[in-house]
Amino acid sequence: MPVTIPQVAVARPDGLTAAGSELSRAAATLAEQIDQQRAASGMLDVGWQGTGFEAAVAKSAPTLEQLTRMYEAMSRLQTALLDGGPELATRRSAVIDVVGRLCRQGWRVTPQGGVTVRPGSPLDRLARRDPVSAVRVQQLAAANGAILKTALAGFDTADRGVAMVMGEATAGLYGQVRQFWGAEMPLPQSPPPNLGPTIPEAADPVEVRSWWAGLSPEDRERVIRERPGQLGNLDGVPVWARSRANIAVMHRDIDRVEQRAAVLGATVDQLTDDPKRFGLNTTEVTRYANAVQVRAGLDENSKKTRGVPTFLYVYDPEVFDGQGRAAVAIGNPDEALNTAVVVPGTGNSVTSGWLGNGDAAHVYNETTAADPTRRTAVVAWMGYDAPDSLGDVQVGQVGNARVGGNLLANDINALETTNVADSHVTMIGHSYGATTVADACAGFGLRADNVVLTGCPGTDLAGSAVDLNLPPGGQVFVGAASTDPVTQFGHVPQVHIPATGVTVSLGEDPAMADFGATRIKAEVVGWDDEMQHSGYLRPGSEALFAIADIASGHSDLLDDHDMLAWRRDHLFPRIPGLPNPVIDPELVRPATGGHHH
Amino acid sequence: MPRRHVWRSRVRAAAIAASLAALTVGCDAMGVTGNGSQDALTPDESKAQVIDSAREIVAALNLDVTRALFWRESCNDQGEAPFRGVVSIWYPPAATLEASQAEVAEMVERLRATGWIGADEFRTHSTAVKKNDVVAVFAPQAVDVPNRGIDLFGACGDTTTGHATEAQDIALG
Repeated sequence: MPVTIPQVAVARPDGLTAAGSELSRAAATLAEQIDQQRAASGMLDVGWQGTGFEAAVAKSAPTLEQLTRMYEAMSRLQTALLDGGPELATRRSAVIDVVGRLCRQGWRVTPQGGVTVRPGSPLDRLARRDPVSAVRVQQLAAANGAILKTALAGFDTADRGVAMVMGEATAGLYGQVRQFWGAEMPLPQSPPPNLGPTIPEAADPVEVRSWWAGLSPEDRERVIRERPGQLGNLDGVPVWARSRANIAVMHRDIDRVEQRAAVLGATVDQLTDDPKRFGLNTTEVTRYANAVQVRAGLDENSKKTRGVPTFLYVYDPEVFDGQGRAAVAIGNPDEALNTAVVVPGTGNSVTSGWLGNGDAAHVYNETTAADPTRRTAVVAWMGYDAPDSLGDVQVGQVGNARVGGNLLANDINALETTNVADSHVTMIGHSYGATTVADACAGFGLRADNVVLTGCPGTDLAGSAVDLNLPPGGQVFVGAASTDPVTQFGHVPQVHIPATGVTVSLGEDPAMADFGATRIKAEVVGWDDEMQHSGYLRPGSEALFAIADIASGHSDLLDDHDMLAWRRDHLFPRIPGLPNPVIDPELVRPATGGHHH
Repeated sequence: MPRRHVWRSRVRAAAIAASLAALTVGCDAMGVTGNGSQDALTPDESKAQVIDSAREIVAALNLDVTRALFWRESCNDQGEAPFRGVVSIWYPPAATLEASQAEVAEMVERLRATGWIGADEFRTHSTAVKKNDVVAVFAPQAVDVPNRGIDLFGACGDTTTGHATEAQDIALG
């Protein structure tokens, strides 16, 4: 039976939150008891041997296990309560607010959410004035009724969702209860929960898109609200829906820690430094740390683009040894005519805070300046395990680039499924990220219109521009500062170490003439540092200006804007066995300036 | 193994070693000092530099500011020093993109009368002017961007700051 307004009015969701808080304290106490019992067992182990000792251990071990399981169930339950309480409170407020507004306007509201004119009210007098007014009032009543019933349904769904999650949280205890009290004892029975639409997690993106298109608005809302973890990274679901689901999960990851800290009167740092003491585990702390960085990525990219909405396209905070995987879009890629994807290199991760560092915002601002008339989206893609640092052995090997290339191809190709137009897609890779982009195109079927490789140490699977398999008219562009030493690594031949699957060195230098790419200017004015690997996306740089021409779909203007550069080449025709130095014409060209539209 | 093969193996090994050595000295050593050689700035000076310029522009243009933000950003993509201050001034969009273009041109002319000059070394599709080591970029009005803006980039002279900061609201009045 659907929930009624009186039931909503007497509901006290804040009680759930309070119970969750109380449970947090109890869980912390239980954790201490478990620790004490473990310590006591350890002391027995040291000072007592023989059959008596074995009997004592045999008796205490199940108790310890039961306590541990109970503690785990309490932790799950308190999370469900702390997550569900605020959600239900919000839903309840929505219902109460709508009812209050309707009553003040002169409507009569039935317990089931029906809306009619209250006799004697101004609305009643209006309806009696003439037939046209009567019809208008009737239409208003129907519209208000629909609004109220939607709000009621929202509360009902949230209520069932909380009940289901609580049931799951304590499910593990039932086995313990049977073990404790005997199999004959009847356990409380409840009807099977209504789980709503089945999410086709194994389907391909086109099938998923069809499934989503077939859902009613109410079912879509329900799936986002009740199962965001399953929906958020599902290819074929529109970006807006994925983002709402992922953001919901992200908020849970943050609230789980911050609410517990508030309840226990501790700081977040205290919780993250010693999570076990406060009833948390390391995974929850990892998720929290990455969620905070992702939230900053969403906020910062919006602030740095003058309020453009941001979307959380990919969110998986536990992978890559806890460094996380995420993609934040500035602007909605589903509605964009130009989509650029920025892939960073070594030393960057979700944990390191790259998502909010401004690279993607710089590309967005310059691309919209290059063509303010076309809808633009820029995806900050931190979706692979970039080498941790230049001391990481992976930095000279292709393994992470190939695995990352596969992930990149899947994520970006999925956007084709949900884009309402035919977006012009530009991939922008920097450093090891450029190798990853090359591998995604050459080895894993990434479909992009243009590719820009900046500061590229090698193109691995792509021996030439043709290998990137771009469509007719598509071009590979290279930004390589003449003094960027990382771009010289492409001259070191790759070596495959037999029987290990390891390939050392990252492949060809795409700035060489025989690679077949188009080189853009990427020198830098006035930098007094001879090393120029870290500034391709800086505002004011040649490279960012040229990239904006390409990402905005105007690469044909690069020549007009004087942004094309001579490619590197060998000094002599190649003669095997003889040294043949590489000449870079850009080395003697001062950087240009003053490019304006 | 034939002598020639040994020689080749050694060359290859040397090349691999050289490449790995080169790869492991890379980006960490690649600090970038930003907009030319800059005098060192303290964090407070770096902040004041862009905020003072932003106040000057707002006053000169009598700008209807809807929001103003300040943050510190690294002058390279490694998140390392040097840092610079950035201010983003938001103001309402014009009726059309063309009307905005005309307004921006008129605003830039007014700023030129107060000592701002073209920032020729700062390459952008927007309009950029500079004064006292600060570059002000007038972003054109664009579809789907809810606000127009002027972004001010200070000098890359702050070597004290250790990390970028989140954008914070500031008052320019």
